[in-house]
Amino acid sequence: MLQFLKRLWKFLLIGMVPIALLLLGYLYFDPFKTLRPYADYSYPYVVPNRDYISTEAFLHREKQNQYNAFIFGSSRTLGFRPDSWRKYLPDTAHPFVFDASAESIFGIYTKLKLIDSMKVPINNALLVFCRDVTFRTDKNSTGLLYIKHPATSGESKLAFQWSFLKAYLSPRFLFSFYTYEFTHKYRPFMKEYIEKRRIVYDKVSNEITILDQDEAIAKNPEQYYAERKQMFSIARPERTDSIARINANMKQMLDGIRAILDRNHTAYKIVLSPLYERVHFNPADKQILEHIFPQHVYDYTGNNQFTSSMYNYYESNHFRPAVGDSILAQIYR
Amino acid sequence: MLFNSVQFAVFLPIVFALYWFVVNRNLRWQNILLLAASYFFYACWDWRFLFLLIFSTLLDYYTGLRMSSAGNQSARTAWFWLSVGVNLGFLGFFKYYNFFAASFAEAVGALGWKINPWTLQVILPVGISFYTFHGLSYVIDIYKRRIPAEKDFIEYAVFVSFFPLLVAGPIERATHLLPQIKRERHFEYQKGIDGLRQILWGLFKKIVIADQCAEYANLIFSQSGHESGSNLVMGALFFTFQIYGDFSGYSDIALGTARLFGIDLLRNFAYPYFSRDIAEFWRRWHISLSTWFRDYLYIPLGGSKGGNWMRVRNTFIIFLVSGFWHGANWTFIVWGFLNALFIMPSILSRTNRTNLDIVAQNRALPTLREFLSIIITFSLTVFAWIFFRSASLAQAFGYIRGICNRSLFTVPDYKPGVLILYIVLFMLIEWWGRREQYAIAQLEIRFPKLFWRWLFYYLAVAAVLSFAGGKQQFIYFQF
Repeated sequence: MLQFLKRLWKFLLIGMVPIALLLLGYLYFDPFKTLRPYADYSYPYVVPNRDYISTEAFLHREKQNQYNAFIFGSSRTLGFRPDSWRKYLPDTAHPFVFDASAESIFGIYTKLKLIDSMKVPINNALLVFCRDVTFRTDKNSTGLLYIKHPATSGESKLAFQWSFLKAYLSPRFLFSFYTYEFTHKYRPFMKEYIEKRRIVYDKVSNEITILDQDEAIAKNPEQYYAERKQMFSIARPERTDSIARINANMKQMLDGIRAILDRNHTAYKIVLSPLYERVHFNPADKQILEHIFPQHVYDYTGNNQFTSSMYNYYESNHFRPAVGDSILAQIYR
Repeated sequence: MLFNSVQFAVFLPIVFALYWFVVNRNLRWQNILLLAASYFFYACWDWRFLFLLIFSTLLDYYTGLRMSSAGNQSARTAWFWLSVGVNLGFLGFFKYYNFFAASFAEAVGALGWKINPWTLQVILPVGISFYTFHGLSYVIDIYKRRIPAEKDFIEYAVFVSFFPLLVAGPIERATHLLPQIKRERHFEYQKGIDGLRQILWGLFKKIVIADQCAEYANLIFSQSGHESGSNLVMGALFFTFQIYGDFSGYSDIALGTARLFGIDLLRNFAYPYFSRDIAEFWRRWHISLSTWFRDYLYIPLGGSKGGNWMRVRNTFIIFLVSGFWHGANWTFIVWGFLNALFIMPSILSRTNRTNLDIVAQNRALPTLREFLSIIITFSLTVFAWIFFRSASLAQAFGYIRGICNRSLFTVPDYKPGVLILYIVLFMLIEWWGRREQYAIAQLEIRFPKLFWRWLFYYLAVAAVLSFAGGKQQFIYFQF
């Protein structure tokens, strides 16, 4: 028995050395920026969890900035600039972009619940629903980029941190991260984990700006779109989504959202994103939305003035602020 | 408590330490500890069903004693049928009641009468199929006078409830396990090392292979109506490796854990995907269940002693019952039927016992003929798994229809490089170790240098840790 235990102990001890070194590296570098609070999350070089950044920004800056107007949705909300939105709001409005990557209805609902529970006024709200992601799940999302902040999901902080530690310990991440950390050179194999674009988060409104994209378009728009011609040349016959995605749980969440907005006397608009794919929102789902939020739903899916031109998009997934500005002008007319 | 959970990682060392350091000098206390640990392990699922397990244990223990002491054959038979009836009654109620009620309502509905089936919200007690079969084999063996009744309740209760095998087998026999429980057990270094190695290999199969395949299999099966033929083939393949990694991984962890306590359990898997025909596949897949059906159903029905008709009838019966054992759904019954159908050529030509040894026993590679036989057998198995995995027969037929069109010849959308690499590596290791109890059993002989052996272990641990945390349920727990 003693021999067995000695050998087991030796095995564990030797095995612990690299794990301990990796853990020290994790604590030191904090690659996902989830271990410590940061005054500014801009210029991340590891693909960030946007939900975490938005929620942290809200929790730490809410008192200082007196937020009372919110934009909810996925990364497509980057088409709606808080400065543009402010033109249609009272002078006292202090907008905050409370978005998340591939934001779900669960995320929007739990964020509203958090704001409401903190007694922060919700005078204005812009909810951006996407056909492909908003109603994909009615639970907390999984995965490094999408898992929700514990303050909104209600899940344990330990489980949340474990997700990141697990992602850190994957060999592919370790290889990508440390190669970049030591060489500061981006290579194609790092694509999944290393962010090569320069991303800036506004310290007040939490608005995202991807500098490279805007600079490239401003510098030479023809070249920008020529380089992405293949991305935009996908077949996209105009059709209607045949899958109804809003289930009973999601319906309850929508009712919950409505109750919070009513309680706060919120002036709100719901925009169904103009996605380049030109697929119309599922009619049954749209009917549910219009039934719960009558007169508040604005459908920009399918073929329209925005989706007809690739120049309205950064790439096939994200529309540009000019589109957001036009939509705001139409819905606040 | 799942084998792949943090709770089990805490539970196992505590029980191990108590077993070898506190009660190591007393067999009685060792068995009491194993029983208490097993009941705690089971209560972690749902403490209410612990009473069902204890009742079932008491029933078989008591009827065993009464059969043994019965003065005449009719009393003996009466006690035997009481035990069988109550055991199957519980199994039937918890597992099959809703299925029969709904099927009856459907059948009556087809005749034009409409009735609302009185279904119940019955929760299936985890492991009920396994411990019921444990108990049944015990009472049948006593009834057939193969073994004497066990007089010591603690020892009998450990035989039924020993935690490594409690929820998903292997389905043990009293003749094999009870003598080990009654015998004094001393720690053996080699057995301990072997146990840990087998646990590691089981965790690798479960967490790295099965759980990762499950993500793709679940996704593809959940939207099978919208997937291309090539994607559906990938889905069926992912499920094929998922179920093997999941169940054989579970069995490896169970066997390894039992070995840490000085107990050897029955082997449950012997490289089934290297089988050259379906008969061989069934000698290598879920061996403890196959041999249970062989000994307690096939042979009592007459086995292969009669003519062809008798052999065909008995084969269909055991495969249909085996399918039904897996779950109350027509998909399992069709899965059993298909396997019976696939085995028929070798049953009728009496070649079902030609491939008894592992393929390429004394060679590194199979012959072309063997290789083709393996591919054909594997393909038939994959096809049958479609029924096993589908939620309904309609989905299974839709799935097969989806495969059989021109989109079968398109490039699949699901081709996760890392996972495919892991599967290839896994199958290569399985091939390399196919002559052993489990693939890495002889690592010490193949890698005499500690460095290489430990490097292998560390890499396996790293792979397990990098995928750990999902805590996916084992498929066979639902049976």
